Amino acid sequence: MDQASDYSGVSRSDLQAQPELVRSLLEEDQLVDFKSQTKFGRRHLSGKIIFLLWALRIYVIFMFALVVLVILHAFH
Amino acid sequence: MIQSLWRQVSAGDTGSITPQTGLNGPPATTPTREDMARATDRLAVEKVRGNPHSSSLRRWSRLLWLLAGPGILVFLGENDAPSMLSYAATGAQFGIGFFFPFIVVTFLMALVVQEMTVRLGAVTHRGHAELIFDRFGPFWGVFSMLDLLVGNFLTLVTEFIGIVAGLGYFGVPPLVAVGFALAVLLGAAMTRRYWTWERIVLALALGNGVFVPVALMTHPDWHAVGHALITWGPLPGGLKPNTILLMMADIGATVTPWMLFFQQGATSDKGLQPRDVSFARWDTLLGACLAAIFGLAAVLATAPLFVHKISAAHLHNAQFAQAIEPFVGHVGASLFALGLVEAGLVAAISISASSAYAFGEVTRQAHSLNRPLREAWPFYLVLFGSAIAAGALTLIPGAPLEFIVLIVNVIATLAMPPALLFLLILANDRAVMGDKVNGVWLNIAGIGVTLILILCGILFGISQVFPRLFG
Repeated sequence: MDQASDYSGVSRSDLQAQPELVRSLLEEDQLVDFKSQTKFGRRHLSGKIIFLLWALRIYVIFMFALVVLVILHAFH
Repeated sequence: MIQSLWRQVSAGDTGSITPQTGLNGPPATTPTREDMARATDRLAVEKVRGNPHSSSLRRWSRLLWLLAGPGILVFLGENDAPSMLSYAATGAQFGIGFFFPFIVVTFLMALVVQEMTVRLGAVTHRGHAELIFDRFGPFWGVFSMLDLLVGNFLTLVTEFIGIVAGLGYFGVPPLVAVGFALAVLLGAAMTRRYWTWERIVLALALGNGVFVPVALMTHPDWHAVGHALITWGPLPGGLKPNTILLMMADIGATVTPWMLFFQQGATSDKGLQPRDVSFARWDTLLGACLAAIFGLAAVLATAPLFVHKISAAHLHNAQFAQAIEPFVGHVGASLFALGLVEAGLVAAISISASSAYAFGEVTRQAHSLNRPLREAWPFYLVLFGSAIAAGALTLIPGAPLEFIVLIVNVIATLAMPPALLFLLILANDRAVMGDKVNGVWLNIAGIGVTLILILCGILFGISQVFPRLFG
């Protein structure tokens, strides 16, 4: 049976009376309880990824410092 | 997908979803008020999907109406006060030329980035900050949050500067202007329903379109527009440090870290599911097109200043409205000032929501606009607190506001490459995305956008350290 047609006669008040309707409308990992009790685990970071993360972090710090110097220079 | 992942976890595979503490199976799932609100929205969607009497076009339009929102909001939110001022400065200093197609390309770059974001949100139902902390750990997560929160706060300040300046054009005192903006922000957030909040902010965001009539009032040279789009020229004065600074500002006006956190958070809060991704893409595309048109309209609106050789180098905020008044009349100038107010207002609402989503996700506190204040007070505290602090800063005499306006878009552009690296890794992470991982072309486009942003940043650095290299 088409899942969508199941809801043709359902009203908002039915959702409060029948919690299973809420569960059927949402995916399990959309439910607040599920989300609060689970999390995605850490992924393995390869050497290449760690190198890229550090390189871009150093890039940001260097460029931010440059921006501050440029603005200070402009104000003087 | 989740059930199969859970089975993997039980069997000892730690690649994906894991229990927080001592759980022996899938956790019990009792629907909360937040679930109920989200299910109500999903019910409307399922009813349209299941209506056999509706034509396919009517059904498609109705579904788009129900599922659109985060994409339009994020793009029109990014057409914020400093962005519109950046476009205004572009039109006034360079007229219709190189920057016209350049701005179109910046929106294409943003479209590539936001498509990945919305897919992540619809598939994982988690916010961006939460995924970064979960998958990369707190060390890298904290860096990411620092970039976001510093950038968000500075941008929020500029939104209030835009609101104060725009309303100042009509003689409204700064204190009243800030109070008005905070009242709208609070009023929208206190509806306790994501859907209502979204519709209120969407209605406000469409006000960004006021730049279009202002542009039309200037009687644009459409031949020059067509010529610029085809030839990428002219670029008066060539590539000078000031030109590169404006390029950086225009990129920062379109591609920024807060957009990732906001759209993914809003997609998750709205309750979009993987099968809604095609509509979420349409939503994002629609947002990008509208924002590009409105942004280009701001360039056209101030282009007469360039044509008539009126110096615009030191114009800022609502002074643009006064400067274009001889060309568009008082009505046009008023619309321009009103556009600044709208741009600041919508962005202030979106950016404070982005900070609040990220804070709630990282601290694992309730973080949904479907929750009442008493259930999610830390979320609302960040949302309101950041806005109140930013608004208050603009009222302090002698605060370095010009400094903040100058750097905010540049900082956004510079902070983007690391954010994009996180996004690309997450969008290619099969344990998170399943079969919805990036395709080859999207990866090429995403890596291309990242490289362009890095190159622009390096070019900006060289132009500032060695300005003589650029004449």
